[in-house]
Amino acid sequence: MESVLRALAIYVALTLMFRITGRRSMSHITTFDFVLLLVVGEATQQALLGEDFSITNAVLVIATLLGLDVAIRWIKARHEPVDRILEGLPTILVVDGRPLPDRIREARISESEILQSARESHGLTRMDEIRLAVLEVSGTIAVIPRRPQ
Amino acid sequence: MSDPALDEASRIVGEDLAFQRKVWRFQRLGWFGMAVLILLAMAGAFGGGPLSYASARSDDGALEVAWERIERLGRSSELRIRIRQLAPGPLELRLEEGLVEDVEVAGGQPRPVSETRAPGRIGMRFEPPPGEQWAEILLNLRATRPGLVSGTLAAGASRVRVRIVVLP
Repeated sequence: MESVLRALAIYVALTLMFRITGRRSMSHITTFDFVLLLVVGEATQQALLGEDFSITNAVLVIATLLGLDVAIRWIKARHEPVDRILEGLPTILVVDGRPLPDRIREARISESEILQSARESHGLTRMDEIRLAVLEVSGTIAVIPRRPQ
Repeated sequence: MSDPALDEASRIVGEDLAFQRKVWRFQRLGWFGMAVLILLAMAGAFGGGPLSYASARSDDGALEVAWERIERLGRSSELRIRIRQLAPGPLELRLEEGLVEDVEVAGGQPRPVSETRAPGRIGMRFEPPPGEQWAEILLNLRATRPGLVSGTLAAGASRVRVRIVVLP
């Protein structure tokens, strides 16, 4: 029972902390983000296993974590409000070449990041070439170019 | 002010700005919560800092104990005991109740000359330091379950109540 409770506590704590730190944490992974993920894994390992390093305990912990993940996905697929709370919603940052400063500030994005996404995805270099820039739930910025007149 | 282009884009994308603003507010509260957590951790609210240190003295003043009142499961903490030698001969130290059932003694200094165990009680006998009025004994404690541990430490007729909150 202890293995299941440990896995459950760690799953809830990690889900909450990653949700608090914001969806952008999981996109644009830098070298430091990668190291951070390794350190988080290392820090949770002991708490997950305790002093029991048996194969049985490892299997129980993995089964609980995967089971929780499947259960959460199942609930999200059937209950839209849960999906919104856990995943968030897309946010429009630029419309018809006009950046929306309030949203950009609140989403903790800079205009240069939007332009970077526009360059990378469509080779656009100016804000007025963007029809829509949307901060997706995955943390990426989707850019839709304006159609040529 | 209504913006038709924005409203249309918002509808296509499935945006709900009011909801998203709530999420951002929740995140800001979360950052504040994490900052408070870090400050509390530095102050020792989760063990290992000034807030967690406790000390007590027996009514007759012959037994002094300093310990960490907040502890974490799997981490060993130190119980620092000072005993005034009222009579010549070996020092007898007794751990009772929660200090026997919910905590294990994982070493210490000096090593006891002998140890006894009965239900709800551990007895330890130490050689007294020659020529000193006070003897000092360090015990490393390791909690075996989370929750409140409440026990008594006794030497002769002197008794000190020790309470430890063990975090999971």
